This record gives sequence, C-alpha cells and structure tokens, in this order.
Amino acid sequence: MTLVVAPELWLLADSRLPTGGHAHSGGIEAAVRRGLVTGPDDVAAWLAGRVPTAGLVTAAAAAAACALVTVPVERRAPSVDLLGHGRPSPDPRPSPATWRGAPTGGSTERGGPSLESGDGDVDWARWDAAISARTPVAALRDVSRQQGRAMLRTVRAAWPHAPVDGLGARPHQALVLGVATRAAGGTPHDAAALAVHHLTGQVCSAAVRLLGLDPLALAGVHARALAAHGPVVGTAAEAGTAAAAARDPDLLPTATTPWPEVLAVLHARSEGALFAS
Amino acid sequence: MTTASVASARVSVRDGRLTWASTPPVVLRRTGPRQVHVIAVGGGPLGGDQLRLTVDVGPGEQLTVHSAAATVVQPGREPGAVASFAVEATVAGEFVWRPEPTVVCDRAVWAPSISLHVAGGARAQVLEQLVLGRAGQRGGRCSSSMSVAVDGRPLLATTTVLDGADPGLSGIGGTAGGRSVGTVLEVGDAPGTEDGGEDGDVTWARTPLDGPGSLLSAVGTVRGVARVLGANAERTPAGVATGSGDR
Amino acid sequence: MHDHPKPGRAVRIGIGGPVGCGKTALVAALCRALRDELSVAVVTNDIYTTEDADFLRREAVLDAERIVAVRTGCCPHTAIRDDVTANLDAVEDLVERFDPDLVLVESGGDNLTATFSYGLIDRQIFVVDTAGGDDVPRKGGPGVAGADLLVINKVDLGPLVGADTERMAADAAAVRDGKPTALVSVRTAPIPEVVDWVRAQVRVPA
Repeated sequence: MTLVVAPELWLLADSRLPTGGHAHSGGIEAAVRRGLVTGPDDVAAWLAGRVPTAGLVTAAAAAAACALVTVPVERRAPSVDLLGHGRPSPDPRPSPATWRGAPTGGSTERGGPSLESGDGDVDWARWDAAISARTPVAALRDVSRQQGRAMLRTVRAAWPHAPVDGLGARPHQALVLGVATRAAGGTPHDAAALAVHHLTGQVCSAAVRLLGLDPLALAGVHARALAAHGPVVGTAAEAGTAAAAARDPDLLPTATTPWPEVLAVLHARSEGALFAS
Repeated sequence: MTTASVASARVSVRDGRLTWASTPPVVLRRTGPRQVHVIAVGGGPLGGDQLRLTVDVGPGEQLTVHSAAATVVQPGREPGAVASFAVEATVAGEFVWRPEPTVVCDRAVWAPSISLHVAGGARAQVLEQLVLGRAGQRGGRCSSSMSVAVDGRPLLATTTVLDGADPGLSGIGGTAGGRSVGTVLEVGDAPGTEDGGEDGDVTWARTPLDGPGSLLSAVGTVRGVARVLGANAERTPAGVATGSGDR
Repeated sequence: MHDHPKPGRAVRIGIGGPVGCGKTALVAALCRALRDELSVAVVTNDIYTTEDADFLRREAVLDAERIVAVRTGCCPHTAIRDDVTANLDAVEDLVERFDPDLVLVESGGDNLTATFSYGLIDRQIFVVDTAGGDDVPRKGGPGVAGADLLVINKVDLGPLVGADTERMAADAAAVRDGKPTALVSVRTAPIPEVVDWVRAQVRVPA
C-alpha cells in the first residue's frame, strides 16, 4: 500500500511556521539553568521522561481534536484504512461544506459515535476543561493557551476553512493543532505525531541556543527520539480517537512526571529566563 | 505465602453519625469523633492486591482519614502484578486524606488512585508522600492518579508516573534522582498563590489549579519532601474567595 | 510595501538597532514627549531579562501596565521578523486593554540586518550611534537602508570617538532613497524632529 501524506502537513511540521514556538524550550531551560543539562544525552534523557507522559497527554488531545472534526472515514472513502493513510489523491481533504457537518447519510443521532461531526457538534469547552485539568501547572496552562492563540492566527491565515470558530480566543494548543491537522488533510495519528515532533523540536532547539550544543548532534537526538517514541504517538492516536468517538474527554490520558512540573513553576517565577517556558 | 487480596472498606459521615465497614487486609479504626485510621494487616500490599476505600462526607460534616503506619508495597508472586488502592470520595463537607508515606519496593508495581467528587463550597485536602524503594533500593514502579471534579466540572486529572528502574523516569525528565515525591492537594479554596523553593534536599512548587484549588508538588530526598509536606499540612483558613478559571 | 496605517487603529512603530545604540532611551523620550497628547503603549523585547521594561516603568514614562516585556527565546530577530507571534499577542493585548493611538515595539538589540516584519508594525525606526562606528551607514544593510526613519544617536559623542557625523548623514542619504534621517543626542537634547515624525505617522489622513 502506498502511504500518502497530505503535502500541507509538512507546513504544520515546519518550525518556521510562525506560531511562536521558538520562544519556548519545552521546559528544558529550567534544567539547563540548574546545570543538569550539559550534552545531547541529557536532552535525550529529558525527552525520555517527558514524551511518554506529558507529551502523550498533549498528543492524545491533539489526536482527539482531529478526530472530532473528522468525517468518519468509512463513510467518506470506504477503501481507506482507519488511520487515513493511503487516501486517494489528489485532494483527500473534505470540502468545507463537508466540514461543517453537511449530512452524508447514516445516523444523525446527536452525540453518537457515528454522527457526522462538524465543528457545530463539538462541545469544545469540555475538551478544553479536560486539558486544563491535565495541566496542573498554571504557567503551563497559560503557555498552552498562548500557543493555541498563536496557532489559531496561523490556521486562520493558512486554512481559512478550518472549523476553529467554536474553539474560543485562547484554546489549548493541542486542540488547535488537531483541527489544523485535519484542515491540512491529516489524521489523528498525524496530529499526535506533530505534537510529539514539536515538543521534541522545541527542547532540542532550545538546548542548541542555550548551551551552544552541536546542532547536528541535536538533530540526531531529535530523530532518535521520534523513532524511539513512535509507540507513544500510536498510543496517543488510539486514546484520542477513542475519546473522540465516545465524545468523552475524561478518556484522555493523564500521565506526567513530577520534576519538570515543579521546574515549570519555578521557571515562571524566575528572573532572567530566555524562554517563556 | 500470601495470595492476592481483593478488599473494600467504606466510611461515611452523615447526619452527625460516623459509620464504617472494613475487612482485612484493610481495616478501619475509629480514632476520634471525626477521624479514622486505615490499618493494613498482614503485611503488604502485594502485587495483585486490589484495595478500595469509599468515603462519603455529608453536608456540613468533617472527616479525616489517616493511616497507622507507612505502607510498604511489595512485589507479588507474579512478576509485574499491579497492586492498586482506589480511594473514592464524595465530599459535601470537609475531607482530609493524610496517610503515612508509601514505600514502593524494587519490582513492585503500585497504582494508587484517588478520586474526589466535591460539591461546590465543600473542601478536601490530600497529603501524600511516595518513596521509591527501601534503603539501598532504586524503587519499583508507581502510577499515582488523582482526579477531582467540583460540582461535576473537572479540576484535576493527573497521573504521576515514577519508576526507579527506568532511566527516563528517574532521570532529569522524571524525578531527577529524587527518591521521594510529595503532594498536597487543596480543593475548595481560592486557587491561591504560586509559590516554590529549592535547596539541597528538595525542590517544590505550589500552583493554582483552573478552579477552586491548588496543588503542591515536592521532589527530593525522603526527609526533604517530608519537611515541605509538614510545613504545608496545615489548612489555610476556610476560603471566602471563590475560585476562578484562567481562560 | 505597506499601506498607510488604518484610521481607528493603533499605529505600531518598531524601534530597532544594535545593542547600546539608545533604543530604550529613545522610547523613553518619545513617551515623555507624546504621552500628554496621545495614548501610548510599549512592548519591549529584552534578550535576557525584563530590564528594558523595568527601566521604562522605573522612569515612569507611562503607567506600568502600558509597558509589557516579551521573551524571545534567544532569538530577538526571529521575534520581530520571522515569527512575530509573541509580539503580536502583546500588541493585541495592549490594544484590547487601552485602545492606544500609538504602540512602540522596541526590539532586542541585534545586528544591522534585524528589521521588523510589517506584519507586526506599520513603521519602523532604526537607531545607530556614532560610538558604534561612523562607517555603519555606509555599510548600509536592511536596517539602515530600509527603515522609515533612521536615527543617528549620540552625535554629541562624535568628536570624542572620532566619528564624522556629517559623513554618516551623507552615507545614509545615499542608501536611503529619500527617506528621512535624524541626527540626535537623545540623552542630552530634545528630539523634536523624531517626535514630529512619529506624530505625523499617527495623524496620517485616512
């Protein structure tokens, strides 16, 4: 089977896309300032703790948001597998009319998993609250909303048809990323992968800038982290898709690790930080 | 050799009456007018044990649950068998859950959870300390879940994942070598102020939640974490302010 | 390249230039000169700290809440040109809160190529100083050549550092295609020509 990746997805994966990510370090600046990061291995160690926990939560939320605005695949294109890879070219993206929940036949039971799901059907406030509950650190909730607001601006410019109106002015970034992924022709799995990619990229890029580490070495760390944490993406995609199908944000995963969370608070309270988080 | 236990206990304060029921290995003892202690009998918990405590605190009532001694979680006969302890509390008054520290021994897998359904205006405090391993051990695996809803709205849903034998989780992205992790959850108060500090023994921070409550986390040595928890165990005066969201 | 500022909307003026050229002093001087006739707000892009914002607040050039600092993650030029997100957020928050006539966005000190994106600002001022070398205008670059107003600061120090300010002005004129240049000494003398230029940007007809 040929795997087809929607070309616009590369844009969402590009750190040059202006969404404000360059001002965030994925939390590692606080560890750097305490002398705990001195080389590429330490960056990998940070990711080994964070990606399967906090990264999983964000990735699953992004996957869920993507699934919530995704027309059930078996109706739209019966020959396509559930992850949506191998979609027929040239344009796998549903038309804006389809997005908005135009009926395509089948069940119209409100809230049921087989319901045609345009943005009008999604109670985003519940999903937003679920992410807040999974983000105990106030500073990180604020960062997530800052980045969500920024990504919303980018999405409106790049994908004007994306159903973001119900998200509010400062949604959590994972939700915007999920909707944007769908707008760019991607799947919940893609959304989860993008979330992990961006967390990894922020951490690696910040380490280069803060410590003068070899950017080539960090490119290696980034690549190996994406490979090593591939299963996290799969788990996040499954969990997010399941939560979306059940219309139940309580089903989103909840993992975290304690030390980076404590550091995130101390970082927000510190003077002289270079990165916003 | 002990076999795995499945046991439930419950305690309720309602209309001025404290009632409780329990069976070994989890036994409840009344130790005050509004206080009970959990007494683990028979050693353990062991991998495979499924323990449960259901708490009901009626409107205007107050209840504190302690444990009599530190809990030492041992591996079961089956490698990787999970020991769980689920605390489920419905709180319309004031509830305090303040057990002694829990030690997760090498190869043990511990999955405690606490789930609070708190009515608007009611209050709860959870104060817990986890220790990875006995002296000389790295410690087993632990995933400690806390879920809180106030008037049905989620306030906190988090699972702290620890594993003394996992380099990722015991490294700088996990506990940074800290042998102990402590938590003070306050529900029903104003979100409260951000706070934090660090010294050679412990790094800690308190953060307001998105609603009426705050969460303090501490990571460090057993003694350092105990010191931070002790200093933050006293309830703040009953909040008159109401919580607010951060949207 | 860009339209005139739209009426009924805060005019955003970026102030860029190398470290130590006097950007913060210029912002302070503009605030003092214009705050009685215009509603003004400021965004600073400090590289390391909130020092510039703190200085402006300490000097009380504006109400403290009209001055906000943005963190740039070691990349001051990215924050004003390639990914202006954090600055846009800060500007939009100030606009929402105060509905100002003028927002000054001070960049973090950077090199001569660091200019603002017109997605963030409407006009930009580039500041250089005599102590930074009198060959800077001759070298040109996007900041010196492209800015809507070039400010050559610390002309009072020119004789002390061996800088030929007349030559600097002539070199600038040669690369600036008719756009204005002001020679000033922000800390020691009034700057009416810069103030008037800023005022004119705000009062541009619809």
